[in-house]
Amino acid sequence: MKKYIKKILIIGNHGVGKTSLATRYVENKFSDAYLSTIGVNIMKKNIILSDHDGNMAAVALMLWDVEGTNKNQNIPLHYAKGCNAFIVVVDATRPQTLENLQQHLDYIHNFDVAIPFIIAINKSDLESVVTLESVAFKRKYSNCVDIIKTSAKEDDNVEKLFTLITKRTVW
Amino acid sequence: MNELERLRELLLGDELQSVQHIEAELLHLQKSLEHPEALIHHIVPHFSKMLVNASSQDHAAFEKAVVHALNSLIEQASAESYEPVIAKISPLIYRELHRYTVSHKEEVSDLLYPVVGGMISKYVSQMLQDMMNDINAKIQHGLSVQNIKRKIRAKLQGVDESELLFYESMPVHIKAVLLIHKPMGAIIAHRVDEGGSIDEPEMVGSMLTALTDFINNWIHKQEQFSDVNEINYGGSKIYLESSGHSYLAVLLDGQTTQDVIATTNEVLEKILDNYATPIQKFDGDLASLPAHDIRKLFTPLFALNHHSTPDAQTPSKWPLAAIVLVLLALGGWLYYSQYQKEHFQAMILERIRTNPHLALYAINTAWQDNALVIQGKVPNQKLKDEIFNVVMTKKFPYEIENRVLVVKPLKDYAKSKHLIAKQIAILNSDPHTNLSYSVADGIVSISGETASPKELKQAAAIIAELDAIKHLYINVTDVSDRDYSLYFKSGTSAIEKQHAPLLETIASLLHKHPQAHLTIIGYSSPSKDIVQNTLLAKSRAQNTTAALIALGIAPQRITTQWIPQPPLFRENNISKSQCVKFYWYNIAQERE
Repeated sequence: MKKYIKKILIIGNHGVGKTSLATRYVENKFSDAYLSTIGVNIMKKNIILSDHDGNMAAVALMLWDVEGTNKNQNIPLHYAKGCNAFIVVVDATRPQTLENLQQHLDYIHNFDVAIPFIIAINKSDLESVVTLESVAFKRKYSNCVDIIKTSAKEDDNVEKLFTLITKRTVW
Repeated sequence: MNELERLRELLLGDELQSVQHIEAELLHLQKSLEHPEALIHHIVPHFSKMLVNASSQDHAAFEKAVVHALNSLIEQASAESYEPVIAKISPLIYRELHRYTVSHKEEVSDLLYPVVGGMISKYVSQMLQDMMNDINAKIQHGLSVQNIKRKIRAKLQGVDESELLFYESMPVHIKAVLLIHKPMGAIIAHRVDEGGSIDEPEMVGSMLTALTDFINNWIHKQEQFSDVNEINYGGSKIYLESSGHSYLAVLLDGQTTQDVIATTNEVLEKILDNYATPIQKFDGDLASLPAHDIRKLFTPLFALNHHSTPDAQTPSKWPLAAIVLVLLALGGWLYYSQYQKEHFQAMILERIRTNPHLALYAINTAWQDNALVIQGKVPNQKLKDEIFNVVMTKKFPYEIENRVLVVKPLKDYAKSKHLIAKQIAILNSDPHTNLSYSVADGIVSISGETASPKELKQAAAIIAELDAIKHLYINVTDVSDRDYSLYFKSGTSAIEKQHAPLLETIASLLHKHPQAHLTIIGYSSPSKDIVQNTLLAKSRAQNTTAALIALGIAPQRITTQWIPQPPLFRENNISKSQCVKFYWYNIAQERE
């Protein structure tokens, strides 16, 4: 079985649930560490993936949960160095976070026009304002792997979100 | 009643009743003595009152009596066995001490400091004294190769030998070594010392990368700093040696000695010698790098843990060996000094000979009494002064004397012609300059075009100074404003017919100047669709590169980049913003 180490950056506005998604997925709270002073939370999860042909891969997935930004605030570019994919998180209950989605996509495309990314519409257990339809136009990006409604609270689609994007970095 | 009893009654009368009463009381008292508890029960209330009265009437006498009694009691108890006394008193003392320490921390600390502080300082001083004695002994008696090497190293580094030895005397323990992929923060290979372990090395790698990136990008942003190279945590250190795409992180206890730094450098160099390209191309596939082989390369670092200190060697017992070593050291030192001087001399000469104005003249250097003398002949004072401008760009450890003579040259036509040819060749090394010249009867004509009019002016001044030259005619077109850009229609990136002439010109320039390197940058209009703009700018740059490669240019001579924006100063001109621009640089100049 082939072994990989992959770095995925999780970006999005303040309070959209980036850390909740990552901790829900990683579960092992002892393996995380929050470098609050420098604005990044790094977590690790070892996973085994398989593709349609039955190929297996062991991946040490390093999740870089970058401190949330607000409008006109840029994510430091150095955190993205060497990353293999992005997860962009928006809050289903806050239309403002959808408005900033374009800013995050610009950031990704300025970094690398071909790098894969996935959009998570988080907090879907609550009354949603942001729907799949409202972000569907983002599918025009060929490197957009998918747009998924998630709920870190209800553990809804969290596994799927991370598995999909990680698979894209391997195969 | 007999006679005796009758007599008693007559003599004692009424007292007899009282005597009987006293007898009964005595009997009662006698019985009480047989039961001390009952007696104590009766006496205790009175005893307390008695003590209070006694202490208030004559306090000093009472205290004396009590202390005496207590001392006697303790002595007596101790003589039999200490343990019961200690067992009784200890809890009381402990409880009281604890209570007092909690409520009077600072007082207790002040009280204990002279004792505890003194004890600690005595211990530490003794330890340092032992270390200093050790160091002094090594300096005074050491004639080992290691010590001579250290003396040389101290001299070279400009530090005190004892300071160097102090650091060497500090024990070093390499706990772990990690090779980290710099951009990703991924661990490529790691190894821990025997018996040790490291939890989550991937986390350590990522965290180190995040921290160093943060420091390098934010704290050192405005300063001329290289990468962070040491992080302290707890009582340990992480020493980082950085290359382009990787860090070698050494986790250690103790001082980061010169040995550690040098060995880390050596190990990283070896790793890069063998694996630089796979490291550069690493995208997370761990099979692309042989971690096992890389781990083997860490061995010299762990060997430092078992390295006996250089000082274990005793002073030489053989005078001959000592003399040989001293001579060797002296020889080494002389050789090094000579090497330093030669290196310095070569550097100065290189600066002079690569300067386009001075390169034409035979200028040499020689050492005289520790000063480097520059000798030769130039035709004017301006050129003589330029030597200092060229040489004195930074502070040097040696004195420099400029003894170049200003000599008006004879009318040597052949030499003048040679000098002119050299000047023109220098100017033509710019890909956008194409000059030709002729010399006849002291008349020089220069024609063609140049993108460097300033350099042409300087060269003309030098040529005009030559005595053999009567007239200088210049008929050169200034092409510094010539636009070397390929323009594209909106939304297109294909190479079209109208692009061919400029592409051929660029290709012929590259053929003509094999040392030149080209950077191609694709641009786009300032419209809002960043994705579309990025794709267009990228495609324009890549298509142009492909066209040049098709014209026979080696791909490694071209760097392709794209920016999804207009070039500078063309922000408001859409047709001029959809372009590809060419940026030259000369590798020879870069190295210089």
